[in-house]
Amino acid sequence: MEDREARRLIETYADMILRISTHYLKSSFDAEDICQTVLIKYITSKVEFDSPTHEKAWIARTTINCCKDELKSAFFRKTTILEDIEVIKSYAEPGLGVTEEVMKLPRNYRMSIFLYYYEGYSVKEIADILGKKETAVMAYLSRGRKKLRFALEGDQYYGK
Amino acid sequence: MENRIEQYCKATDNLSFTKEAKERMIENISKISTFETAGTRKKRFSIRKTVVLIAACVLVIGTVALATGKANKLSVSNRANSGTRDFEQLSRYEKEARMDIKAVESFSNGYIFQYMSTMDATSLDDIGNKYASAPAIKMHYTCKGKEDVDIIMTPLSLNREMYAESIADATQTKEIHGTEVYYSLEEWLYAPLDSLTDEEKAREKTDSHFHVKTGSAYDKRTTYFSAGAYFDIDDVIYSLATQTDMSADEIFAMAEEILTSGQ
Repeated sequence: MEDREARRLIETYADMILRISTHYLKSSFDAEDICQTVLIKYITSKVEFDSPTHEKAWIARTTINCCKDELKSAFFRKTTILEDIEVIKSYAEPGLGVTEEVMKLPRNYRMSIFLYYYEGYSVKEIADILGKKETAVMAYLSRGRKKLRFALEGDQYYGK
Repeated sequence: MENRIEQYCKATDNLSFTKEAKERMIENISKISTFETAGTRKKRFSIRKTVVLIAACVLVIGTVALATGKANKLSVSNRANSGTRDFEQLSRYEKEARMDIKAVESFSNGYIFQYMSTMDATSLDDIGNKYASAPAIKMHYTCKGKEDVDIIMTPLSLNREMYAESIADATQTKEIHGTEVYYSLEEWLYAPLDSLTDEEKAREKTDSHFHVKTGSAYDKRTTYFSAGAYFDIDDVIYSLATQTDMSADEIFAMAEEILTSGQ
């Protein structure tokens, strides 16, 4: 592969793959391996795309599939949240509090919130990427928001 | 809450690989993927070629019958995390796919083994009902200046009927060391809506090796070819497929090298 194409793939998708896998696995321990696995699948697959949006969605779906495989792996023992390891720039304030709360949500909730608010995908697109029904994604978003609101602003509810 | 979402997005922005990690990955994937040709990457956004490829694979694996209510298609998909570039791993893949196959690392016409993977093969009917599933093996070969060749091995038990129908429709047949090898050459015409001539419409109805796709997505008329060969040994169907008009003689020669491998 030309170095230029490898660079395009990494520059365009590496951080997105890292963010998806970190949200899915609640860990960034294997992010570099997952990123390379996804891009090797891209390179070796015969899948063709009719637009950059289509390509991005394929990468997102494949990343989620790789994360599922990772969870099945006997080697997956890391459950720590937001590890700061040498390959990854750590989260910085502000926002660590809310991010930690997002990470505490159930997997489908936090993935839906990430894809909706951060990546800007529609409910339909998220349903396609996660392999869920649109109604399920709407429920994940609604319940996720509710849980977040409670976690972040609970003190207000209790009059503190 | 909106403010919190904004904070979350800003924090997520900061979650990124270091420059050193990115450079390391660029170096790694540049090395790993040297087998892919520039031509393949250029086709990334071509829908038409995809259709040809899928059609070629389906053709070679076998789909002729159109009657609903019986399996007439074989869907093959890569098994997650399966694949190796080490030809010596063949026995491990045979074990995983529960098949004993014949294979070569290189062909005398220049094609060289690049990788193999285990696949999941499923027989389907017209409306997508699943009939049976079994593991399959795919081997990928490349040759500089030529289109890639895929060889897919599937159990005969999975698609015996489809295979019988496919070989009945073959363009040419040759017996090689006691094994019948079947060759098909398919022509694919992609054309804008309402642009088919009467002759093309008539040919589409009568020539089972001529396929037409029309639609607004096709702004000009383009013709592609796909060629394939198939044969069976010890209850395993071997399907060779390529997206060119590779000649029967060349494909038969490749089949012969497979048939005589290990002798």
